[in-house]
Amino acid sequence: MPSLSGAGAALRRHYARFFFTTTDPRNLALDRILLFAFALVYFGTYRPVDFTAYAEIPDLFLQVPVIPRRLGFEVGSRGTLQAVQLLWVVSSVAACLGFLTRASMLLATALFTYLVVLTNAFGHVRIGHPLLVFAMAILCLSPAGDVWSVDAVLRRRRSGPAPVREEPHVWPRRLIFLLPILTFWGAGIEKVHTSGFSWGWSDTLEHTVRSARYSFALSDLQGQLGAFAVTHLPLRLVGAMSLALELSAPLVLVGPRARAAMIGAYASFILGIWLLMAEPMFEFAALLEFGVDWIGLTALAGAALTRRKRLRAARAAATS
Amino acid sequence: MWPPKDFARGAALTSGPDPHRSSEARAARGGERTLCGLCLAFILTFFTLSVLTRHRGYWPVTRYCMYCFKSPGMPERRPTLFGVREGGLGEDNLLSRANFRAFFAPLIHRPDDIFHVMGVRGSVEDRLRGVLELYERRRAAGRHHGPRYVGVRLYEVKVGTSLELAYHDDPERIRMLAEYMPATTVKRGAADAVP
Repeated sequence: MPSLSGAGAALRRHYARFFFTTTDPRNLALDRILLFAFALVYFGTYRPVDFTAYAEIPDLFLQVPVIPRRLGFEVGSRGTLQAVQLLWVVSSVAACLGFLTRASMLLATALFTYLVVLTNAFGHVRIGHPLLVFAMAILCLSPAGDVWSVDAVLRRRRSGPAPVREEPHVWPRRLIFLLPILTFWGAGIEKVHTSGFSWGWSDTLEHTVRSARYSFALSDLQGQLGAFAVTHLPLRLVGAMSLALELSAPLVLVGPRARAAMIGAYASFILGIWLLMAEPMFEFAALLEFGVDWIGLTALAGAALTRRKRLRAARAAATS
Repeated sequence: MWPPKDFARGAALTSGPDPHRSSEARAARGGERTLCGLCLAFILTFFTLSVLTRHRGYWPVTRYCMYCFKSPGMPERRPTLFGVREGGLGEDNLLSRANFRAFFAPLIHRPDDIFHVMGVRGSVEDRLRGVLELYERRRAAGRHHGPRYVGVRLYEVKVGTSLELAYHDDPERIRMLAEYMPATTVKRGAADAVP
């Protein structure tokens, strides 16, 4: 069957292109800094959490998911939670700085996992939190501390200029990027399975935007935008478009252009949900970042600027 | 041909000619491929295949459905909790903007979240007792300076659906569904009154 073997070879080539092209090591370093800093900032300032408060919740309300329950998860005492919280902050800062990178990333990930289970063990569930755990675990397997890290500086000081390493493969970034994409796809599938394609053309989105007015996190601007959307926007069409966007998630596998377009679309989707429904899905935005070659983009922008400057200089020389 | 060209770029050192380079690169390449394959299999199994094959209605890693149910319409009534003050001094809405930061943070972000926190274990009275315990424990720990309550009541209240209406701190109470008063606990309403 030549056609089948041809398709298999094409699939393998595509797999290799998607996961095993090389990337600038600074991209991975940037990811490391952004991911661990994001977790700190998210829990530290945007949604400030004093984890010791969980020790005061009656056991009656404990609803630990199956896997952590089987692993013997327990809510620690106030003192234990205080120690875990402090260690998590210290190890996350060390991971951002790239000090004892692998060890600090592993410790920060382990402690963060415990804190995520803790915060999701009392009925309040955030889908984005487990994604951050998976992302951190994948990053622990990558050479994310090779550059832009205290370790790299210390290595250079100790043994002179480090040997030039070949650029790392992009697979850790791609795997992490797939996490939010698969989540969106799963959300689309669940909607179709539970409610059918008619979900997209129903009043669900309008009712969700109206219900968001009861959110304690709703700002005045979000309230005004929600009211505007309900009265002026065709929310059924928006709902159908968002369902289509969720179901078309696999397009990110097609190629770089489709990937860039989908990242833009999902970023707008997340922004729209936050503005209209006061539902912050910033964890997803933080993970979509892994699909962007920031260093490549910066180089492109720099080259474009230089070209423009040269053109201007040439024009000025010609006119003078 | 397998492996394709891209695989040829191994993760080994490239500083000058190295007699061991090819074998090291091959080993590193093989390790990476295995690692990537395992991670991908894990992600696909937990994130996608379980959704596609099990159809539990909920996302596999959390009990969350991503707004998958079609809305039956805007509700006109909703349950709300009230704290009963000492000495017959009235009742306060426990799910008001003033109380939620002091009382439930970081557990809830909108009033209905409290019913997810209260869960399904125990009777309604047990769960109301848990709410009172949580409130008093946080008060004793100095996390808020709210008044002392002697009981908790679950009411059905009217919902404002007008776009101008934000959350009502003092909504109109329609009927009491259940209460927990340690001194004189009176059961009213169905046992499944809490959503």
